[in-house]
Amino acid sequence: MITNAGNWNEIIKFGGQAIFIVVGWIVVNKLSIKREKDKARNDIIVKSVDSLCDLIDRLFDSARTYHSKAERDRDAEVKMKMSIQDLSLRVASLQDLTGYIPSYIECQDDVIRLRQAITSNHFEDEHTGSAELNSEIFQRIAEASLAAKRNLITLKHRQFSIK
Amino acid sequence: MYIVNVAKDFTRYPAGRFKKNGDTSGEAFRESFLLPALRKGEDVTVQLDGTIGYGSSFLEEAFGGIVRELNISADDVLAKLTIDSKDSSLVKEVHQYIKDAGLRRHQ
Repeated sequence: MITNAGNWNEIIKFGGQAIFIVVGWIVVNKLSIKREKDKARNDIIVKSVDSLCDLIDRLFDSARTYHSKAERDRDAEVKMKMSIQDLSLRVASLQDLTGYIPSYIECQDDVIRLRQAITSNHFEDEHTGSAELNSEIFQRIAEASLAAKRNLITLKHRQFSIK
Repeated sequence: MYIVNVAKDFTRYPAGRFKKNGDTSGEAFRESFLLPALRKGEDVTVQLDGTIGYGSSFLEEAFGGIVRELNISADDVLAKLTIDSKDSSLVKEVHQYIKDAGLRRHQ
C-alpha cells in the first residue's frame, strides 16, 4: 500500500509537471502567434500609408498641372477622379487594420477635403483658362494634401507609440 | 421606393456641374432622375458605385441642388433620400452638400 501510494504520488507529480509544461507551451505559442500577427499588421499599415502618401503626391502634381493649364484636359480629369476614388477606398480599408479611431476618421475627412479642393471649382465644365498660381485653388489643394499626409503619418506612427 | 444606379441608369462617366455643358452633369442627373421621383413623393435610393469616380462639383449640383430646386429643408431631403456606396466618404460628402444647401436656404 505504501509503495502504491508512493507510485501515485510520483504519477500525480509527473502529470502535474507535464500539464504545466503543455499549458506553458500553449500560452507561449499563442503569444508568439499574436506577436507575429501584430508585426505583420504593422508592416501592412506602414506600407499602405507610404503608398497612400505617394498617391497623394502624384495627385497633388496632377492637380497643379491640370489647374495651371489653359486647355481643359479630360484624360487628366478621369485619372484624378479614379485616383481619388482609389485613395478613398484604400483609406477605408485601413480601418480593418487600425479599428475606428480618431486618426482614421481624420484621414477619411481629409479624402473629402482633397476631393473638394481638386474637383469643386475650376474643374470639368468650369475649367475656363488657367487658374492663377497664387489663387485659392492651389492653396486649398496644397493644404488638403499636406493635411492628408500628416494624418496618415500620425496613423502610421500610432502603431509604434509608447503605451 | 425608387432606386437609381448612376452607372447603369445614367452614365459610368459622371462629369461636370451644369447641363448646358454636358448630358452627364450633376444638374442633368438631378433633373432626369432625382427631382421627378421626389416630386412624386417617392423615397429615393441612389447607388453611386460602379462609375469611374465623382467630382465634387457633380455631387454638389446633383444633391445640394435638390434643396435649392424644391425649396425644402435639408432634413426633408435626407428623410426621402438614401445614398448607397461602399465608399463612405462619398456618402458623407453628399450629406454635407445637402446640409450646406439647407443652411444657405435660411440665409
